[in-house]
Amino acid sequence: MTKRALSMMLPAVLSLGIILSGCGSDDASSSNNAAAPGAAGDKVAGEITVWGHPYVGDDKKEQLKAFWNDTIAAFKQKYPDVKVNYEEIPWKNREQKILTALAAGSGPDVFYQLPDQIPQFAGNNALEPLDAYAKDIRTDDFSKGALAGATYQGKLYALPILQEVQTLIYNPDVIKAIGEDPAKLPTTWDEFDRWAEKAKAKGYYARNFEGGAGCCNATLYPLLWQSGSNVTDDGGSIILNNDKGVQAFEYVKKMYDNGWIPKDSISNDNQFPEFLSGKMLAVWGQGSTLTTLKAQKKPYVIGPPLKKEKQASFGTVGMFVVSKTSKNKAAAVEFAKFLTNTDTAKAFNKLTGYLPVRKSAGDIYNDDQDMKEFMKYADLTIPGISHPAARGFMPKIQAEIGAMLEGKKTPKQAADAAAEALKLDAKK
Amino acid sequence: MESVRNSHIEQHSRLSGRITLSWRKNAIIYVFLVPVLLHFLIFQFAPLVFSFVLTFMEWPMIGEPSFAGLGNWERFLQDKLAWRSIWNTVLFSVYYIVPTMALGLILALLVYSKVKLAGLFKGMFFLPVVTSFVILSGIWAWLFKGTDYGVINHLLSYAGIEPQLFFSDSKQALPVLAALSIFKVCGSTMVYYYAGLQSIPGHLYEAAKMDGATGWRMFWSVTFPLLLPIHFYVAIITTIGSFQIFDSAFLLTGGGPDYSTTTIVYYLYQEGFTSLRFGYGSVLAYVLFFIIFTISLVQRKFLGKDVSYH
Repeated sequence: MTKRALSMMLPAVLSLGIILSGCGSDDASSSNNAAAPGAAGDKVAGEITVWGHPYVGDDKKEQLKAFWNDTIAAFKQKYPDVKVNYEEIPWKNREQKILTALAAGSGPDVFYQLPDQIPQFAGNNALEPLDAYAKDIRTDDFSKGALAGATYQGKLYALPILQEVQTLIYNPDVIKAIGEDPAKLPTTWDEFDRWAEKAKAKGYYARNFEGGAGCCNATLYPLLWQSGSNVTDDGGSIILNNDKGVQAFEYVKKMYDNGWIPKDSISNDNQFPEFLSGKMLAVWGQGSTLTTLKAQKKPYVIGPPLKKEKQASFGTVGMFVVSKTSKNKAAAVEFAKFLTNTDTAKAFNKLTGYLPVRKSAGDIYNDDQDMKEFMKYADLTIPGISHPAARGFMPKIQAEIGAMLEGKKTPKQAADAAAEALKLDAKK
Repeated sequence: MESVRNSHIEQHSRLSGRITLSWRKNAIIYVFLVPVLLHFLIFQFAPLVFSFVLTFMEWPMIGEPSFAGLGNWERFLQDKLAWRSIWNTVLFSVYYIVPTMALGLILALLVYSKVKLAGLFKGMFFLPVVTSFVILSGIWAWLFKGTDYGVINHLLSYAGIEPQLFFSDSKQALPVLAALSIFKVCGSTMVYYYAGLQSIPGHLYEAAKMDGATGWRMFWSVTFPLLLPIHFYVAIITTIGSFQIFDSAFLLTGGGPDYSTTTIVYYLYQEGFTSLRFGYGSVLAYVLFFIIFTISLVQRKFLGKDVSYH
């Protein structure tokens, strides 16, 4: 029985075993004197491993494969002494895979990161700062939000390749049913409230609020930013329970109590069916939302990010970073640069349907009205919270929103409790 | 004196001869044991030791670990959320263990009673066991959607009952998760009980029948007590399973609402893989280990009695 109890415990710590068995990567770093020099003056040579993800659906799988093959081949022409191994890692549990591999010393040289991961990884000295290598990069070509997401404590740690804009997407049929004009969409909280009240009176939900999985980038954070608050200030202090922050909590509570959002918003992570079935005025969405709506032949109209004090929204930025433990850093950085340059990024964004982060690539959607509409709001997006504990903040905020919506706490109490939990989390 | 010494030498050589013989006889067994032993040492015992060492370290998995002394253990004692997660796990066990055992036994009795299509029922009851938890969670989310779009709420409306919030209600979420786990696991407990029922000798039932015992009396006086080893085994594995509950909280509720479904393994996962505090995560893993170890000892003391069918 003791053995059974012991073995029960083992799965919880099994992953740690991998670390024990890790004995460093065995990169074949060739020393070729003819190797081309990188921006930092190092030799660009050796073998590197790049980890990416399935950025497209199954229908474009082959095209994505061709993109990587072409990119690697083109890079090889420029740097013949570099061997690039590309591996596609599923989205599921990707963070754990990256962490485990890095800890075992067998991680990738170049891998994909999101802005709220940068402080966590950079703060733990897992990423190579790129400033020394980036002299030949025009950082002013990147959008403001993308560059902010790639930077931590004044150092550039990532090279952005894609971004998205999230905003409310409306059902024009419902807009007409409540007697409003699809060409004059709400731009402020007050205007949206008037529409929400009308929608409720006609038996529609005003919008979705997926408190289960979406917390908090797609739920509370945009409201916090629109109200003029944030989770942390520039110095990293927790401020989400300041007066403006509490306003955002109050607004969520108001939407819930008024029945503007579904009653299961506390835990539901998919209210899209309600929108698809025509029971909802607006849904929080992005480019991929439009793909589904188009496929289902549903009408839609893209709304601007709302404003209370400030017009703002969430939009993540996808970036490539270089591991601190890479044995061939110069080659890894040059590949990241090649992958995110204007031409490669154009091809990548066109294929995957994401927005470009470079101004010089901004013309790829000139013939696509929807993407042009999203592009208009790109500079209003914030790519998440920049704090080493940002990922750990979300479940704590989610729990307090749940308590507030259930009526166990007032918005002020919930905001205070969330702030307290976040302060503890940030300190640990 | 000489004879005593000779006798000792003789005894010693006989003993070492027996040991050599025994080694030779069992050599093949040891050879087969080596891979298993190595696997256990490298992949199970070593991480266990390493994890214990980690409880005294701060380690974000990337970067270098630093010594934290008893800091992680002190933090655990003061961490209200950790205690809440243990309490949630205990509550989950209460909702889960007895119903799982009872349902498994009822299903086993049903398929053992030679009803028509017993084989088909056996397969049907076992189907959730071999179905992916992700798929079952998706079905559960659809059934228990907390608006009038949910299947269960739709059925309740026929009985005039207001739509329930289920996963969005901190009082209902944990029992609904427990119901999913019961549904997933009771097919396994059915198989254990079915095997137990088959091992009860028929003559005991005949003797009970001659003494005038019928249905219920026969069940409580013969079947139930003779299944004691199965009860013990099932109690142990369901208890361990209940304390390891993670998937459903991860997939369906994210630990909410208001931390009501944050179980200890879910909290451990969050601390380790979301917040990158593997030292503290290891403390939680060891706390879980001690809890299960203690419960298993208690269960063994009260349930682990030998049963003879003679």
